[in-house]
Parts: sequence; structure tokens; C-alpha cells
Amino acid sequence: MKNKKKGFFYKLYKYRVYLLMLLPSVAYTLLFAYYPMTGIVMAFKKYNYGGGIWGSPFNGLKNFEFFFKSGQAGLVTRNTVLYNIAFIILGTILQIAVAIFLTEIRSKKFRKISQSMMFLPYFISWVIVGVMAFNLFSSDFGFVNRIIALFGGEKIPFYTLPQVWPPIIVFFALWKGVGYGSVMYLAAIMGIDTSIYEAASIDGANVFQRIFKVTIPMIMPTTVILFLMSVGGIFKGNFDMFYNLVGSNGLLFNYTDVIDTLTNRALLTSQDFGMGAAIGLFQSILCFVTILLANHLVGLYEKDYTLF
Amino acid sequence: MKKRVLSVLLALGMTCGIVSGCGSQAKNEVSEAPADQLGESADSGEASESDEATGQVPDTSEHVDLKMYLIGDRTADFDEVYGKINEILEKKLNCSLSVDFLSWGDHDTKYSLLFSSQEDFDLIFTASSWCHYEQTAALGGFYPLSEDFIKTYAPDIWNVVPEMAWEQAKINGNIYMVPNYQNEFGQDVMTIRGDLMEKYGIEKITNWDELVEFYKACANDGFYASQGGPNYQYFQNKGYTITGGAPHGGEMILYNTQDPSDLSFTYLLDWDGFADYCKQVKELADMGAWSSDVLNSTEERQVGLLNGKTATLAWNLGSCRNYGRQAETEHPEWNVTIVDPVSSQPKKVNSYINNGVAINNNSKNKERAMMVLNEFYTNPEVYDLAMLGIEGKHWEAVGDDQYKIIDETNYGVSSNCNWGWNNMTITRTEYIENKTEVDKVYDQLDEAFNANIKPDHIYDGFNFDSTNVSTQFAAVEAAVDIYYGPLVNGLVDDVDASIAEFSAALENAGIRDIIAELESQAEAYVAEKQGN
Amino acid sequence: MSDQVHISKRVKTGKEVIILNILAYSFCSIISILCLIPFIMVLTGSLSSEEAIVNNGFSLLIQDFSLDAYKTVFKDPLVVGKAYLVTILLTLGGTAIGLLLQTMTAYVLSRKDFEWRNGFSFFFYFTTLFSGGLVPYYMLMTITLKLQDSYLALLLPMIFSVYNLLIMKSYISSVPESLMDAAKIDGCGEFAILFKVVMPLIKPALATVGLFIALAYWNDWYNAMLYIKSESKYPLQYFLYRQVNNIEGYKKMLTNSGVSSSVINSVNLPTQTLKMALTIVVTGPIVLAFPLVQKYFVQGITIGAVKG
Repeated sequence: MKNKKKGFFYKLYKYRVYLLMLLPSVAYTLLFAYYPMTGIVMAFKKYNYGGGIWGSPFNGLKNFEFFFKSGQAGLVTRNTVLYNIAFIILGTILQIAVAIFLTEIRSKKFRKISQSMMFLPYFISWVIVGVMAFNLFSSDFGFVNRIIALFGGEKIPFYTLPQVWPPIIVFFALWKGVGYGSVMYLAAIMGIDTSIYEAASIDGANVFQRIFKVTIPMIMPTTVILFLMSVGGIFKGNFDMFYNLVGSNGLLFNYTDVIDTLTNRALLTSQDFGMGAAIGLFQSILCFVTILLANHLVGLYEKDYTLF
Repeated sequence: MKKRVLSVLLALGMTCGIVSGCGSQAKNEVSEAPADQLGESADSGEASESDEATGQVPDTSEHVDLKMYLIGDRTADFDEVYGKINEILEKKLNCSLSVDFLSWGDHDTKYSLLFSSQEDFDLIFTASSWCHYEQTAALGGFYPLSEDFIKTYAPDIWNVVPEMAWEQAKINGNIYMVPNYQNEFGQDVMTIRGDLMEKYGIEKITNWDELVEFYKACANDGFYASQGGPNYQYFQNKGYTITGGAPHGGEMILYNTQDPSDLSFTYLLDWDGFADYCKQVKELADMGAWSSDVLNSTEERQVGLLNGKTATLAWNLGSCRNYGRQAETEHPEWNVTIVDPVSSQPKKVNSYINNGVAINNNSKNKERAMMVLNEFYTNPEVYDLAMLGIEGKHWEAVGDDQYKIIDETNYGVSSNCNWGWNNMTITRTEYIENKTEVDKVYDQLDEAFNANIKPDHIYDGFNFDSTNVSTQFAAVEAAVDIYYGPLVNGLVDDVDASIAEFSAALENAGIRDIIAELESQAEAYVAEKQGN
Repeated sequence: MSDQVHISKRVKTGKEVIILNILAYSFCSIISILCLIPFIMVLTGSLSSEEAIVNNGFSLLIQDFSLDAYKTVFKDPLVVGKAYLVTILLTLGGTAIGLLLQTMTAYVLSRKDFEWRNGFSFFFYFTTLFSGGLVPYYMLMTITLKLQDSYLALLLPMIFSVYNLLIMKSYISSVPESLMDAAKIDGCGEFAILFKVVMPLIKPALATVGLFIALAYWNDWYNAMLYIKSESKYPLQYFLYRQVNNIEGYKKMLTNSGVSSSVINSVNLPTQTLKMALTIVVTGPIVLAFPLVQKYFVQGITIGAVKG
């Protein structure tokens, strides 16, 4: 016991510089992240303005009831997860492919221009993307329907056909993230020691072998970290994206409603803080379990790649 | 003081012709106003008689600074105008008023944050359904206004605002806002392309069947008739109207407002008329009477008509006139006119709680805040300033009850969120020199509307309080968000199947609990009213 | 195409290289063009007349050239200028401080001789999963810290992000431990190792994370919406966001109520084209600045490669 205590203070002394370096960010996190986290208690309360967070009366699990009672819990959770899986898998493949291809391109100018162009969608807000989607798919003056009409085809009423939306949404998500996402892989590839490539080519590896045997394994840490972070958010829907692409079109909800859009609609129509907190907590717990699991699995595979 | 009362009376007298029905009603009801409505008022007996209260001068010896929140944006001359208002307030009530704005895009988020962070302010604009009235009141954000409180600190408001308006503002027996007082009609009319009516050989549109006929003619011609399904026109033709405080802005539960003896409620999905409507509009939608994009369209209502894509614009009388005028000048060949597709039914006056002002429960100067509101509401000088701006700079007076615009650019007429204290007894109307066709049709319709105000239905003043069934309520709203829009715009594949799904979702969400609660509240309400 | 093949043959590269080149060029070209098209639509849309857009939808060409939208945006050039200034200063300050904070923390968390690093990693990561929601955070900012209407309210909420921290950590982990140990033996303190040894080696990472932080500051309007009251303190995004969303707000209100009709007349603004013009005004500078950052990427990457 005594020994252990001494050990702790010894380490405290030994790590004093590290701890000093951590001090600002730890203090920041405590104040700006942990302190407001006390608000989670609202999930178990019937919130009112007079009582505020602490003074409002408890109401047990009633707030959670809403979410499940609405009959939407299963649907939105499923949609959220399926969309995220599509985003993660297709997004990762696309971004890595772009990063690898970009590094293989010799012409500096082409590389630079091409990369700049791919970054453009990232700068545009989802509001604008929503407007553009409407102008592409509207049946009155949509670009797509104009082209179909030009070739004598029949107009497609996209906004009444729910099944066409998952691919459209996935497309826009990938499209918007490709420049941003590939930058990280690009930086990782650029960080690879050139001597490894030289060694590989001396060993007689062709370009494809070089990509699969050197580049991809070398960017694994980055890939795993990014993958883990996205897995942690697998139950989170990007409200901005779904809301701006789909709006309040109930016809499409079966295929497009995610947890976050449901919460938002409920909050705006009933201003129920307790319920909002309850769904948030439900989401967080799911995320937490998933990330612990994913982290554990990664740890089994390679200890160095884990998040914590 | 005398002068003010005189001018109020004068204005009242002048508008009497227009609002005959309600003006006299308001006077009657002030005298017989029930004093037992509010539990809280019982203990402060000294100021219970309104005449006494009017004469009593509340203490204003201590100078206070008040703060008010409005919705919208600060216009360029706003501070100048409110500077003038403050001069009056300083002199009369020994206080100053500062105003902050919650902009249109933000107020959904920020309104509730103001209350949840317990910010210190005194007055705030509010409105039923579109500006957070019910929710904020339910969460305890507003100060309940007792009758004595109103009579003591805002006697002039008490004299002007009709009993019906207070009745509508009540939630669970308490008044949380001072409602505005102006007769807007709850029924929409239609600005319509006269040239198309002529082309299709349709002479008049006065009822649902004629409306459908016109829609079909448009669709057959490859022309969009409107920007969506005309569900309100259908409901209103059947005499039904929405129930205050019921789900989806009241649309889920209707009552027959045209028949005061009918005290039943109609749950939308139990009503055959709804299925009938859905089938009719599905046919219209399939023919192409409106775009299949309507659920995602963010276009304002008037856009379709003005740019020549749709044949009609359905809105309230005033808006229909304004846009009718615009279409008239831009496209005289359209022969734009206004029709009333529900002409057989007597007209219902819109709810007075569509605009109003509330006092923050955390306010430290509730009394003074109420006195300030009294000035805004009933002092013509302050009222004109807030509504029109500075006389001689933004507008000029034409007689005692009209105005002419000089320069609207930096302080638009009635666009600075002065709606919370709309008071038609002192509102100036615009003086129009050359009346156009649309103006003439408008005048006719306006007259016809005012001559045909429907008898009061007891439920017109009833407001459902959803506190006890808030969980079910939220669940119902979630289901409505999914199914209702496609159905009323005729965009579903199979009407019967879709209605069945909608119905099942609502049953799951607990619509029956809501109906039961609503019926018991209504019963208590009726008993109380008739007991009086 | 045949030219390219010819050249490739002349430099005597293998068949795989040719295939890879064709793949790389065509893949990157397609994606770049897909990313560019909507941007052209935004640009031409912003220069078209509102009527043409409402009637015909967007196309790649300017329809009925008009500068109305830009006139609306720049109605008051001084105010826009001020908003630009606020945003630029905020972005520069936030990026510098944020980068320092994140690098310092990531450095400590990646030191293998720091036994508590997993605990601290978890401490940080946990905050991405659970949050108390908007209300407690708002109360912290306005009541506890009294930051309402202060520039700090715009700076602090985004100065530290766990997401960026983890990216940084994965890069620093790739720096060989031996370099740091060697520096330590040479008598360097931890701060000296960080600034003199590690930082120069992770320039691509600094550029990447720096870019992310800068973009976050540049695109932020939400914090301004919550905490800023005086118009003179509005950052660019919020200033413009208000112009668009106020119109949306009007519409929403108008469909819900019978507010006196004269209000409506004051809302005859170009909506669709205005959104496009705002996008150009907001993203234009950052798109133009991007090539500079890109240059820095390349520099950082080459230096890293040489030294590594």
C-alpha cells in the first residue's frame, strides 16, 4: 500500500513535464465537456423552465417511452446504421483509391488541380447541396429530368420515390467527403519512408504489388484510427445532410429517416428537452458499446492501433 | 389621458361599421366578465373592480430599464423610432425599454434557450403554434396574467380586448399572453387567372365542385392549378375547422364550427370525408394539377402564380389582394381576379392568439412591463410609431384613420414585429388613390365577409392543453410528419392502404388517449361556460 | 491517348505502369469533374436572374445575366468587410492556438514511456460519445463564464477537438521513438523535443490538421448564432446565414399564420440566386487560399521525406 502510494507520487514527479503539457487540454475538457455532461440527468426528468436542469422533477424512464412508443425507434436506428456502414466502407475505399491514384500521377500540375477540384464540395454547405439536389432531381425543372425529356423518356418523379434516395444520399455524402477524407490518406502516404519503396522495387515488385504490399499496409494506422472514429459515430446521423436533402417529405422517411432527424422533428414540435436528452443518451450508449467493442477487436489484431 | 380615451372611442366609432359584430360584443362582455376564472386572483381582493382599478395609479417612482424580445431583424431606423417611443415611456412611466431581436432563422433554437438559461428580460413576442406560445407556457416560461393584474396595470387593454380573445389565450385556466385584437378571417380566398377561367369556360368558382372542375381543366391543359392539395378548402366547405391545441396545428381533430349546437369532435381519420378528399386529390395529382415536387418545394405561395406556373394562389384576403395587384401590373393580360371557393359558408374570425405579447416569469418588473404594453397597445402615438415609424419621415396621416407611405425603406409598415399589440380600434389603414379591378373585388369580398360572420361556437374559444398526454402528443406528431403531407397532396400510390397505415401509426402513438383527454377537457369547459 | 502510350513506351516502363497511369488519370479526372460541375452551377446560378432560375432551374450556363444577387449581398460593403475581418482574425488565431494545443497533447499521448497515456486518451475520447446537449453548454457559456457577445465565445468552443487530436496522435506515433530518445540523450527537454524534433517531422500533419481547424472556424455560424448579439461582431458565415435563413424563416411563418400582409412585400428578395452568391462570397476566398496551403503540404511532405 505504502509502496503503491509512493509509486504514484513518484510517477507524478517523473511525468511532471508531460502533465504540464496536458494541463491546458485537460482543464479545457473538464470545463467544456465534462461539466456540461451533467445535463444528461435531464433524460430522466420532466423539464420545466422554473426548475431548470436540477430543480425539475424526475419522471423515471418516461422520456424513453416516447422514442419507442412512436414506433420509429427500430426504423431510424436501422436506417442510421445502414447509411453509416455504406458511408464508412465506400467512403474509405474511395478516399484511399483517390489518395493512391493521386500520388501515382506524375504531372504535378494535374495532381494539384485535380486535388483542388475534389476539395470544392467540402466548402459548400449542405443547404446549397440540398438546393442543388432539388435542381437536379425536381420533376419540373430538374436537370436530370430535362435530359431524360430531351431523349424522349418519361420524367421520373424522384421526390415521390423513396427507394431512389439511399443511393442519392450515399452519392452526395461520398462526393462531399472525398477531398477532405483523401487528404489524410495522402498525408499518410507522403509520410512513408521512400527507402521502403526503393527496397521494394529492388526486390522486383511491380507498381501494383508496391501499392498492395507497401502503401496500403503503411497507411493502416491512419485507416484504423479513422475507421474507429467513424465506427464510434455509427449511430449518429448527419442531421444537416439528411435534413437538407430530404426536408420534411414524409413519403421518403421510410428510407431516409435517421435518429437525428427524428429527434429534431420531435424537439421542434414539442420542445421536449427531456425527450431530446433521452434519445441523445440512448444514442451515446449504443455508440459507447460499439466503440469499446471495435477498440477491443482492433486491440486483438494490433495493440498499437487502439484508441485507448 | 382624456384625449387618448376620446381618440380611442373615435376610432372605435369609425371602425364600427366594419367590425359591427365584434365591437358591440366586446363592450358587452367587459361588463359581465367572470371574475372567478383565476384561482390566484381570489386573495388580492382590493383591486377587483375594474372601474376602481382604472382610476388607481400604480407606483412608478423608481426608474427601471426594461428589455423586450421581438422576432425578426432590426431595421435601419428602428432605434430612432424606439428612441421616440422611449421619450414617451420615460415621461409617462419613468422607464426605458431596450429591444433585442431573435431573427427568423434562429428563433426556433433561441426562444427556448432564453428561458432555459433563465435570462433576465421582461417582455417577449409570442404566438400560438408558430411562435412557441403553448410550449413555453407549458414549461412555465411565462408569467400568468390574472384578471386583477391586467385591470390594474393595463386597464386600457382590458377595455379593448374582447372576452373571446382572453378565452383563447387561456391554457388550463391561466392567461399567459396579451392577445392581439384584429379581425382576420380564418378562411382563405383565391387569386386566380381570369383568362384561364374564360378559356376553360368556367364563369365562377364558389364551391368545392366548381373548384375541382377548374383544377381538372387546368390539368388537362397541362397547366398547374395550384402549389398543392386544397385540403383547407375542402374542410371549410364541409363546415369543419381545426381545434385549438390539437395535434398538427389542430388539423387532426376537427369540429363543426358552423353549427353551434354540434358539440362533437371529429377525429380526422374517423371521418369519411377525409378518405373522400384524399381520393379526389389523388385523382387531381395524377392528372397533374400540381407538381410532384410539392413536398420538397420551398417556394413561397405566391411564386407559382406570379411567374405564370400556376393558375391560382390560395391565401388570406389581404395577401391575395397584394399579389393580385402585383400580377395585375406585371401581366394585365391575365385578367387576375379573386374568388371565394367557400362562399356558401359564413366566415370565421381567426384566433386572436395568432400574435401576442407575454411577460417573462423571471422578469423583475412585471408590473411596469404590463404598463408599457398598455401604452403600445392603446396609446395611438406609440402605436403609430411602432407600426408606421416617424410621422413626416416614414408616413403621413390622411385623416384620422388612414396613412400614406412616404418612405418605407428603413422602417417598413407593420413589419417591425409590432403585431403582438395589433389593435384594430386604432390601426390606420392605407389610403389608396386609384383602385384597380383587384382592389374592387377585394372590397366586395371584404364587405361580404364582414356581413357574413358566423355565429360563435363554444369551441371557438377552447384550447386543448396537452400537458397530461405530452408523450402521446409527440408520438402523434411524429406519425403525422410522415403520412399527412403525402396524403393531402394526393401523392400516395394507394389511398386506402396509406390511410390504414397512417391510422395504425396514430393508434400506436396513442391518439385515443389524446381524444379522450380532449373530450373531457371540452366537457369541463362547456360545463363551466354554461354554468356562468 | 496514343501519344501518351508512345511516350510511356519510350521511357521503357512496364505494362503495369501504363495501366496504372490510365487508371489514375481517368479516375481522378472523372471525380474531379463530378466535383467541379456543381460548383460551376453555383457560379453561373449566382450570375443569373432570379426569374430564369425559378423557371428553368440551374444549368451550366449563365441564364439572363444579372448581378442582383451580389448587389443584395454587398448592399452594405463595410459591414461585409467587417465580417470578413472578424472571420479572418478568428481563423488565424484559432488555428494557431488550436494547433499548438492539439500537438502538445497528442505528443504526450503518443509517448510510450508515459504509462498513463491510455487513461488520458480515454478521458478525451469519452467526451465524443457523451454530451449533455445544448442547454447545459449554453448555460456554461452565458451564465458561468459570461461570454455572451464576446469574441471568446467564438474562439473557445472549437479550439480543441478530440477528432483532430487523434489524427495528430496517429501521425506523431509514426515518428521513430529513437529520434526522441536520441534528442533526450543530447540533453533536450520535452518541449525542445516537441518543437525541434517532432514538429518539423510532422509538417504534413500540421498542415492537414491546421486546414481542418481553419475550415471549422471559417465555416462556423452556429456559435455566433447562439452567443453574439451585436451586429458588428458577426463573423462572415453568420452574417450571410442570416440573409438566407431569415427568408426561410419568413416563409415558414407566413405559411403558419395570418401576419399582416404588408410584411410580405418587404421580402421580395432574390432567394435562389442569393444563396448561390453567398456561397461564392463565403467560399471564394478559402478556395483561392487553398493552393497556398497545398503548396505548404508539398513542402512539408518533401522535408519530412528527406529527413526521414
